[in-house]
Amino acid sequence: MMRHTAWTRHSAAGSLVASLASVGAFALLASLIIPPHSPLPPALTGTAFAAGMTVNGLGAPSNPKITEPWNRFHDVDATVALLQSLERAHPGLAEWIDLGRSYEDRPIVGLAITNEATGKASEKPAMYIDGNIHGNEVQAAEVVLYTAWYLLETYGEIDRITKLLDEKAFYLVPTVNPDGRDHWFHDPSNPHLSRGGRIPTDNDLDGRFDEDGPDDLDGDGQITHMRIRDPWGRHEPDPEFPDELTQEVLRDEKGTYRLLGWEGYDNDGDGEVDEDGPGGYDPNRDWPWQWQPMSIQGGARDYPFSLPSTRAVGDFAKSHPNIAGAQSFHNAGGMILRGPGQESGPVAREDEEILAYIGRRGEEMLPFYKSWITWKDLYTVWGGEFEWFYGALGAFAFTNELWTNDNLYRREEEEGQEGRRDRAAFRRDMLMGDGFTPWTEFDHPDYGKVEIGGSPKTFGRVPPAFLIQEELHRNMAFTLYHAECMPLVKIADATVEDAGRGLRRLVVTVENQGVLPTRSAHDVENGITPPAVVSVRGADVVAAGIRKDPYRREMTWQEVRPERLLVPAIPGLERVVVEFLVLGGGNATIEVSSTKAGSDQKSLRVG
Amino acid sequence: MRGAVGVLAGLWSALLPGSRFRRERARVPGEEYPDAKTIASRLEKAAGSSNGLVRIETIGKNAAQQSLSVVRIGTGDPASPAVLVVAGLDGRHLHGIELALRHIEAFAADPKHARDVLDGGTLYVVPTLLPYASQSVTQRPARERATAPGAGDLDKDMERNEDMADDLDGDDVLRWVRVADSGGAYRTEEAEPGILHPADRNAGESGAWRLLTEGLDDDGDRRWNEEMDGGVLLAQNFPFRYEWFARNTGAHQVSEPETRALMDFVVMHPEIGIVLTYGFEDNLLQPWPEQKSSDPSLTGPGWGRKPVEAPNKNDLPIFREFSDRYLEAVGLSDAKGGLGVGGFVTDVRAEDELPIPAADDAAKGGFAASAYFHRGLVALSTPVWTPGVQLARLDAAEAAAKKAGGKDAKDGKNEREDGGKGDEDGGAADGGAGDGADGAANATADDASAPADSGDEATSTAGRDAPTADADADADDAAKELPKSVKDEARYLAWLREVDPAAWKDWAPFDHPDFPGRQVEVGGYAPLARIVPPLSVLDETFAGHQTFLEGLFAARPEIVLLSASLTEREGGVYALEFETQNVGYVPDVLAQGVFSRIVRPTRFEITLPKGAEMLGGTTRGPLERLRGEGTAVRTTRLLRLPGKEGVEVTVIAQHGGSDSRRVTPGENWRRP
Repeated sequence: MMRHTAWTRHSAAGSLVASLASVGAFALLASLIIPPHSPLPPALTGTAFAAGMTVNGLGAPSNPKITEPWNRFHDVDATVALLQSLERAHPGLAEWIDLGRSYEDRPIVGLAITNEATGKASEKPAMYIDGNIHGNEVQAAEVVLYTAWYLLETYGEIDRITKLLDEKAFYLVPTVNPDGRDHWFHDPSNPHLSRGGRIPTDNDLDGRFDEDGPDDLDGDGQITHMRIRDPWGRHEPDPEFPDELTQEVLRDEKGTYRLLGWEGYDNDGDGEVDEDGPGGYDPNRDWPWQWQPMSIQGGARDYPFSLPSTRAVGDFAKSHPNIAGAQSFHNAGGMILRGPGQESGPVAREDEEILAYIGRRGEEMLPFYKSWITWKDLYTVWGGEFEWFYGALGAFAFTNELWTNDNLYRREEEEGQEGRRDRAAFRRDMLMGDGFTPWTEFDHPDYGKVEIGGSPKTFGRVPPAFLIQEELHRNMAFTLYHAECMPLVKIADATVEDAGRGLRRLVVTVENQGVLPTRSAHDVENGITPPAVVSVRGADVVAAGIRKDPYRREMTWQEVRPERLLVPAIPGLERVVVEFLVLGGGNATIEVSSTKAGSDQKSLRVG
Repeated sequence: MRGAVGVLAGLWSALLPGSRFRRERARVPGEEYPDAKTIASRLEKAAGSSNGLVRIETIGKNAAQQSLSVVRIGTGDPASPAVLVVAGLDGRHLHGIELALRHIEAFAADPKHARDVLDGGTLYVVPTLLPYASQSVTQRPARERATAPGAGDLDKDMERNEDMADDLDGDDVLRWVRVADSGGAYRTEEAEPGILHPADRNAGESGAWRLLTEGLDDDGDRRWNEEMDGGVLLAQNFPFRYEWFARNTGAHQVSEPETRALMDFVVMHPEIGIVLTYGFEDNLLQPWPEQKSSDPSLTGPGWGRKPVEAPNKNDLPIFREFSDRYLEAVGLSDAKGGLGVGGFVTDVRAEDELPIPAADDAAKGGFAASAYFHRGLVALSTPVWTPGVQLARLDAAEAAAKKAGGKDAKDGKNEREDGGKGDEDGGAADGGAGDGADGAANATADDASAPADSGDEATSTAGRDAPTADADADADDAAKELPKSVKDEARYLAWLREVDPAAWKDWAPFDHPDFPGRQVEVGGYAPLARIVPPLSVLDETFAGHQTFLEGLFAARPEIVLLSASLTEREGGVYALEFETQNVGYVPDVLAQGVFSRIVRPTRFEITLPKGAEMLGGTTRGPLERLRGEGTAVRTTRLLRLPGKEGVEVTVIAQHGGSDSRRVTPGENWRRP
């Protein structure tokens, strides 16, 4: 389908309302879209502007049913409301998926997106995408929301998207750690807090649970830093940004400040400050593949899938073996990570070549992002999520660490103090001074007079407002490319030849239109999913086999059940030629079916 | 399953001369073990008669929504140490379940004694996660079944249960099929043609027999009965050294409702410091070897560590000591090794048959191994009984008999190889055999040529395959040339046939449609005959196991305050000093417990009177690790007191209980 014109005339109250005839119609639509228990979704609260004309930029929906500025972050309620709006606005493309509940009983939900007219999502190769397994990594959920919005709003407008949803499916789950996410939004926090879940945990092994977390001493809703004036301290105000930064003094210098860590008290009288805050474990160390306990992998809990949230996602993924590609979004650092997470972790050579290729394409789409192998280039991870999708489910999987400070000034940021000055300059020049809580004095019961100040939670790990949509779009583009690479089986050709003595030879070419193989080498090696099946109905099959060479009739015959020929794997953009020797004539139907590469069928007359 | 074959075979056997038209139900070893209903009623009876000591609780449900029970014996006080006994993780290990039940019944029968033993602590017993396990041998045809119901499609051909075993000879028991094949994995010796042993290819031995489970290749894939026992093996579904993509280990670690229920129970009961598992895992019959240990740094960051697969060198002596105590308790101290699974009998495995795992294999995904390596608990495990244990018992009984009879030492030096007779003292000849309904229950070891079953079998081609206790001198000479594993198995088989004739069936020819024109025979061990002993054997060994279990309560860590004093210094300043001691045998935290970062260090808490002031130091904190047998640690604090009111000192150990004492100014208390 050709793309609609980019010219759209708006009259009032944003693009959604533009298509409505009256306020009454708006109310009616709103009642259909907005769930009764939810507040008016942010997506529907546009700003009216005067009559006139706008011209859409390229690569975006021309007339979206749901408008969203994509320069902000949504808490769990807002996330769910936006998903509901999208689902209701796009029947036939979006289907609600309910994976489960978190420890604190928040929903883990998403959308299955495909053109249902061309087949159910479960029957197509599927791309699973989630985000925000670390609660503080909030823009990770926004990428997934943006992807849902973009797919749904551009289907029928942009040919690549239309083809993608006609042939393939997406399972999009914005946040798999809704507890961590909501506490980051609603509690005093900082860029790094609320990473894990909320199950009370005795991190300091003193028999008490979560008894000494950070405290918002100055009541500004942020957990910033504490520093104390100290003539023996090792820090001093930065000469360039003395009101914001401190810098470490040289070895032969005396400083004026000592840094004391996050805001907080010694709540439990054990001499430590903030050593046992809420939660204290890592949901991204709870996945079975290459799982190790807490002694080996900090953040692991008692056994794999011991958390309700990860188990819910795991159960969903296990029951959807058509997932051929998987992506999880995190922050920060600007990385496209692939496995293994450990030096000893198994990744088949053929699979690594494909993953590396896709990763390199990602580097082109995502400025300053690096395509890395987790253990080798970052650090060792046991029991990580995306590795489980590869190792246990046979899906090609990546994790993107969203946002890099290189994007502040579009150049590689300096290490250390120079980098900190870059960020301070960016706050001053590009954020108009926003993004820093000035140091203020505070009488601390444990330390005496201290100063509290620093970056708010929305600076450092997430993009500033004007760069959010770019970050979301580029990362989505990477995952859509990955999704396009997913395997897709088609019967490219089927012919009948007379083989003599009443036998006919059915020669069938089955192609894989995707770049990825129908099964990863790791899958084939370990039998994670079954082989593709090429079957014949309506004819008496006496023998079946696969040509070793597509050009010559040198066959590997299948000894048993020839009517159901098993094809271990078809490489990307390749084909396999199979032959069936059949008796008699009549109409026959050939079908190819692959767990991760969809299915196809063709009818023809045999004799 | 090609059912018609089984029907015809049954009809054929029923029409044989001497057979009854209406066959009696064949007896199968193990069927005297309790079924789910009996287990439930025995637990209820024990609870009902225990004067409130024994309570049945539920830890979860299996996929069929059957409740999984844990039995609580004692207070259940989470502040007091607890021991956990677990059995029934492998459906074949019926004797572990029985032993667990007997522990419960023994404590219930004598609550006063139980309370003395528990000493304020709690014994938790999970008698089985597979309450229906014995169905495998009570149903017909009888079979071995180790797993919980699960996914199936073991051969990954997208068909489930399409090739199950078939009762080829119609005797209602699924055994083995052996096919004469020089490429086969097994061979026999002339003197023992019924006993299969692995061909040692490295030594130039050729095979003679291919060994299959009883049945047909129903799906034509040249594998036989590969879908049998297609569920998940709970015993190998735990996290330590979990084996991905292995047969029966499940989708991932702790993937099953049963294993999750057990793990959650352990997590919810941090007071459990000692775990005793009855199953194929083993560090009691076969202690962990002295040479294999680990020595990782116990402190430092969690990242960068490597998985540890050998016991910590500081813990190893403790586990070896427990093994010694166990062997002594169950009367096996004098055994010459070979007690564990493997080595003979249990290492024979038909193609696509679930193995009987030796200790190292059983530890892969094992519950006890996970409890020690991942959670830092004292995790002990024993198969309880094995063919090797039985031979050791025969050795001991013979030695005792010879000693009593004044025989000289010369006769005794080759006990293992001699082919012992089931003895009257230490053996179990007086129990199980006579209970069966089988027509051949009167067969004895003296009657080597008697068919082991009811007589409705074809003539065996290996009719002399069971050596007898009274084998003549020629046979003895021949036996001396046999490989040790064959000699051991011959001796085991002789004992087994004596105590339970139904446990073995002589190989009989069978015209197998999958092997036309080939020599094929059906026979061998009955299900569980290599795994589960007759109940009478448990009668003998139970007391030793009960003694060992009770000894675990005595050995547990026990943390006490050894001394406490408040000594006045100048200016109203007092020095508070107290000593904390572990009077138990087990350390308050194993080295692996420290490494695990799960087991809490023993800690102190000081409660000050109003107006008191600590002059440095905290009122609470961790103590150094307290190794057992009287290790003590001293803690000192300076404080200012407003008057004569004292301070309270409390020490708390996760696995060793707690102690508390109020000390008044000037007091210098020491535990009497």
